[in-house]
Amino acid sequence: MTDAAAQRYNTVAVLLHWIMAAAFFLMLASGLAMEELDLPKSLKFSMIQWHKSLGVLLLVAFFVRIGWRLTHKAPALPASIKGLEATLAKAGHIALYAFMLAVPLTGWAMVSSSVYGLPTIVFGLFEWPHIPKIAGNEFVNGIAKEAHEILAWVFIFVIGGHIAAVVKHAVIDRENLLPRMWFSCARCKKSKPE
Amino acid sequence: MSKGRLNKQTVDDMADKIIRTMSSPTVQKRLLVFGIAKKIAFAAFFAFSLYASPAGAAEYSVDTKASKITFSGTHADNPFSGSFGEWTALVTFDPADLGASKIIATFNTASAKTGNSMYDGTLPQPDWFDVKNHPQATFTTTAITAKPDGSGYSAAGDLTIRGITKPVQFDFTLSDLAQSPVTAKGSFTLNRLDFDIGKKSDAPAEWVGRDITVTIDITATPKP
Repeated sequence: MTDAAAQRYNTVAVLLHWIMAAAFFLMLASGLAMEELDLPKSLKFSMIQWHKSLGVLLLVAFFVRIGWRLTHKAPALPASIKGLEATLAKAGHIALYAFMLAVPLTGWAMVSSSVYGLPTIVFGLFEWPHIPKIAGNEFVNGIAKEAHEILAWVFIFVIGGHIAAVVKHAVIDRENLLPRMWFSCARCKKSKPE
Repeated sequence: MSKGRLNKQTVDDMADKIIRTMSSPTVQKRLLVFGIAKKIAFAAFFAFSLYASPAGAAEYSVDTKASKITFSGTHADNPFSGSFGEWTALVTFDPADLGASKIIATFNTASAKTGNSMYDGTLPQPDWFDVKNHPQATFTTTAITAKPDGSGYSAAGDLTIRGITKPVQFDFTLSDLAQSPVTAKGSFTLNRLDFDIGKKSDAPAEWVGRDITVTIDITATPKP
């Protein structure tokens, strides 16, 4: 039972992974759309507000996730992954966590220092505060904006690497790692004593 | 020695001289004329005061609950509108004496609400109404004139927002003055940038339109 369970992430971790993955996909897509496309003003404005709202939830979710990760044991890497690959996997995951924190944080700093001073009202429900003391600070805003954009772009590549690694293991090593991050583990069930 | 030094002799001499002069027939006559002139002047002044003072024109008390001062514009191509929750107005109006008619209105800038929490969180900020430094906006008429075509009146006045005063002019119509309460309606458009409203955030009016329409809908009753 413990052996079986140890081959996959627990249910809370799996839920957080996929919900946050979907949310980050929406965030990166909407961020790119707002930056690159010439959207109608009213759509762009609602998109910004919605992007801010989801960003706040992702920032909160990051702390829930890191808290959960630090208090619950993650399954060990499959025996097939070792040496440089294992180091890369470890570094990749640390990078993913770092971007999950840094991108929303720089976004928050951007909003807080914006000359517009628009409040963040999370999905129209409650107000999320601004970071104090930087309201209307153009210097901070310039840095935050630049950092948010650059970090988001690098994040896209790190996520791309994360997905590419899964594909690499499936295609080249013929090892499907997806069940490790899913709710049940077919392979684990098989090894479970009936 | 000094010029101002007076001894008893001098004072007595002066008093004597004054009494003698005052009791002379010419002076007595002059004093009488002066007295009458004074009375006429006083009467004229009194009459003029009655004519010119605001007390001559009717004072109105504004029912701010039934009245509405709204502002509207566009943001991100969508219309928005809001109104002032707290304001007062002193209204003196007499169609027969427009020179004595006057409107002085004071608005509590913090009471401006649109009902949209996003906008309401932004309006009090330094770049918009700057309520901390400018808790009040005021409007004072400088002249009220009747429209030549009889369609109503025209008010010219000074509007002060964020400590910046600009002249504004607008037409308004009145309901029948013989029936209480009286309603006054009018509107005008101002350029928010004239008052540095949102100057830092959006001077090119990329998001918030330059033009803000102010609509006045006042209900007032004559003071007893």
